Amino acid sequence: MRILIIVHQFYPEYSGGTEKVTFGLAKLAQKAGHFVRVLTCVTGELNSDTWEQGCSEYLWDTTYQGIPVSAIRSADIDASAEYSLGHDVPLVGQISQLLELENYDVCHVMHAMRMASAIQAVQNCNIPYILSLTDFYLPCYRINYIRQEGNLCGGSQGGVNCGTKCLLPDWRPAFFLDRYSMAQKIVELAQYVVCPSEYVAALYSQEFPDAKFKVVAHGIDLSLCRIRENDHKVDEIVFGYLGSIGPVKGLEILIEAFQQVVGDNLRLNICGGFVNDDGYEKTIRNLVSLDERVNLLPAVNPREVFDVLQTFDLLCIPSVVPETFSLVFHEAMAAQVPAMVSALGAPQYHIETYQCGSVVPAGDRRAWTVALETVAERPELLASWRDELPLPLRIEEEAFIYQTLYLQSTSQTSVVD
Amino acid sequence: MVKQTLVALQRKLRKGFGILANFGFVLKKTLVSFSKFKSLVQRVVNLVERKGVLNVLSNFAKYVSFASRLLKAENTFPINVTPPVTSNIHLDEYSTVEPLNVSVSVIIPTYNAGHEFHWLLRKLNSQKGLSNIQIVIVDSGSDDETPAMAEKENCELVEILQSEFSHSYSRNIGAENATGDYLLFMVQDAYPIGDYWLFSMVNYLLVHGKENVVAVSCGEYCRLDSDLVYDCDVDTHQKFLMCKEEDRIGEFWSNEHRALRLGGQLSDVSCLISRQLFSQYRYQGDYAEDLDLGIRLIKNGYKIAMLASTKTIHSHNRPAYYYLKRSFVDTTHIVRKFDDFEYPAIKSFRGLFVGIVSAACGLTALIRNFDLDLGQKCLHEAMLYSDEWLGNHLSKLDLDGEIDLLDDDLTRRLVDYRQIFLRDIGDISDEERDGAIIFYDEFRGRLSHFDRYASEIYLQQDGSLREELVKMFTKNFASTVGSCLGFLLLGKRHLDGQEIESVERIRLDLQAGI
Repeated sequence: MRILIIVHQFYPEYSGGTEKVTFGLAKLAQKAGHFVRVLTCVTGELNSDTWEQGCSEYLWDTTYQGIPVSAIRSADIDASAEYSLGHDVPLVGQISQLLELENYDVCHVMHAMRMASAIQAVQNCNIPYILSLTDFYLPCYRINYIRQEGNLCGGSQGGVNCGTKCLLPDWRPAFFLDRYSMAQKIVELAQYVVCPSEYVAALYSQEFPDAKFKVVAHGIDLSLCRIRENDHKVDEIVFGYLGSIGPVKGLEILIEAFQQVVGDNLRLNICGGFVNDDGYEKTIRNLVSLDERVNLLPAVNPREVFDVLQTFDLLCIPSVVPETFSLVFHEAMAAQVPAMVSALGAPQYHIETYQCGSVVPAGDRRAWTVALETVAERPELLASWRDELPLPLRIEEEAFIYQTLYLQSTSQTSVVD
Repeated sequence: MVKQTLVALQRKLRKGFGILANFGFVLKKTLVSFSKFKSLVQRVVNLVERKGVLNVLSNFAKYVSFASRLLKAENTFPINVTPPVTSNIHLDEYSTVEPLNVSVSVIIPTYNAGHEFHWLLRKLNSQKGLSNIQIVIVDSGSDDETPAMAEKENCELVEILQSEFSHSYSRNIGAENATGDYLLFMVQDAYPIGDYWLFSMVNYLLVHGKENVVAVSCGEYCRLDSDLVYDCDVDTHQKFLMCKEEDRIGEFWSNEHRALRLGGQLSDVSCLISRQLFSQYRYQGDYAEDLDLGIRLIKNGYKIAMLASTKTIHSHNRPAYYYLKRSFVDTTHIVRKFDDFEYPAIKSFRGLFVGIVSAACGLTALIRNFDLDLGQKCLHEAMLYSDEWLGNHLSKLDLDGEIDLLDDDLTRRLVDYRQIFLRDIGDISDEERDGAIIFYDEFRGRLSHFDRYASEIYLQQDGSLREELVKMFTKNFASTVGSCLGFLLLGKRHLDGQEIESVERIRLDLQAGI
């Protein structure tokens, strides 16, 4: 099979959760004997040591860990592609050339941002495609269902709410109605639409009631995972945060809540890199400096994630926006580390289903303090949560399920016909 | 005396004497091309080359019987196999079906299973859609956490001595301790896909039971950390078995070895069979016990299945030297198992080692300059370049170059072979050159096969792919050494007493630990 994976950003420029999952799926499809190319967008400068001109003017090629990668430059596309789902006709033509030249059997759209022209080319070429919904970008240009004023959105209502609640100067409400229609077309023309969690599937079902959604969790690379063997210190509890550090992650709430909890035997280890927000970075660094029990550690590469998780007794995910999946939450489950999470998104659903951790109202400092105090006073809770942790999906399982979907897509008549 | 004369004559006919040799060549080609039984004649010619004229004449009756079986097989191969079936059921759709009132005992022989074993046991215990799952661990003296993990996950633990272990014995004793309606034989480093993996295998047997399907195995799905050679081997194997993307039912078509392997292949990575039927057959032998069981089943009229609709996560990333040992053991066992299995006749002991050592020196030079000479090319061009390079290297036969194939065990063995077997070599004879050519041809054949597989998948190289390719070269080289040493052992009647003694020592060395 010849497979094209479309994703808004990829290695070597970006290395977040979606990139990690995309890489794993691409690599495993190669191992299963399929030709795979990743088509992505580069937002920074193209390094001529890494990239070379591809098969057309707007396409640039490289190889990342054996995977052929083609990229369009964000400089070559309209700036509105960050939030718009409209396509660029010349770019659609050039991507169609690539599709015809390499004769793809199936495409896998991992993320639509900046890639609407690529999706249009796939539709024009009648290539069946699978759509993965890793966040809420299709119905929500802000991605995370948080409105401009900071409240959780109840749904786009076909774009109507976006035009009233999240309208920026110079934008017209009609833009959002069009955008919704384009999103609907992308969803409807997909052979399969896959969500990483029941939570995401439920919200998308409200947005696109006629579509069918499959739930396939993202997989974990268990080969890297080690479990801490019964050496949890009874006299010390390490709360941990692992991930990128930005305002939507709610880290300041966690630190401030932790500072209210008394106990020399408590630690809060924060591991991650700051997103580009100097003011927020300063805030976090100031907060960290106020409590010597709080440690700020540098970001780690994917192979070191489990080394860090092994040092935690409890993973904290204080996000103030809904988490659609949270890879680190599932990696922690694999490492037998329970979690305390905001009552927003997929991790909450998981913890409530399996009773394997604690759920705290998002953004509520007082509630986080109480929850941390509860664990500090009753550390035996950690063991009871550990016992209930379910087994996460392996990356190979996820890849095989997608392979099944690819095969079934190619054996079905394209819905475009 | 007569034998020596015949051998010498044969060699002269092949190597020189202009017209005579050409006549022999033309006669052979004519016979082969125009015979009604073209393939059979080709096999007989190969047999004579491999075993020698005298051997064939002295065992005439045996070979006539063999030929008649071959002829029968020729008429039935290529086989009109049962068409592969595409499963339309997706894994997660099983969650809506009624659970089966069936119990399964999963039997896993273990020895120091490692930290990932914990995941396997948890995954098995969380399988859905069946009334009961028992896990029987047959441990042969682990000194790691394996027995403790088994007990923690409520497995039935059967402990045997390491000296008692064989693939058949351990599984048979596991079966004796099993209580399930069905037995699922697994290996300690495999992993199910999905929560309905076991259900889907049982369900397949139940649905296809009326077609007389009595045992089922899943294809392998490679892990993220598998090596390129393993990926290629899995691809080749599944294409041969016609189960890469579709489920396939095998049955008895003929006694021809390909037909038996195609129809009778089961895999102990995951092999499901009813306890009642297994008790009548049990595993036999100390090698390829799964294939042996499958062949016995199909010969008795049963059918078996290889599934692509559900697979088992399983692969390896072994060092090159392991490939040498594995390939040696596989070659010797598989050839012995099938009378009609053809393999190249290696008549010159020293010639083979000339080929091995020379190719090792050449490969050392090739991979040392890999980044410069091959690393900038796309994979297919790099493979073509290396093939041409090896072809040129063959004409030089370098025996004194440095050997370093990035694997200490492999390198050490090769240096030893040069020291022991080629210490006093002078000019290389024609016969020795022939032996060397066989090795180069086998090695280049493997690389060519890999190229056909990989150039459909990989294009330009980067640092990671370059590193993988270098390992691929050393592993394919090691596999070639292993299989050729196997051929040498199998055709040892060509060798003198001292050479046979050496081959036996090599056999003991290579079989250890496999």
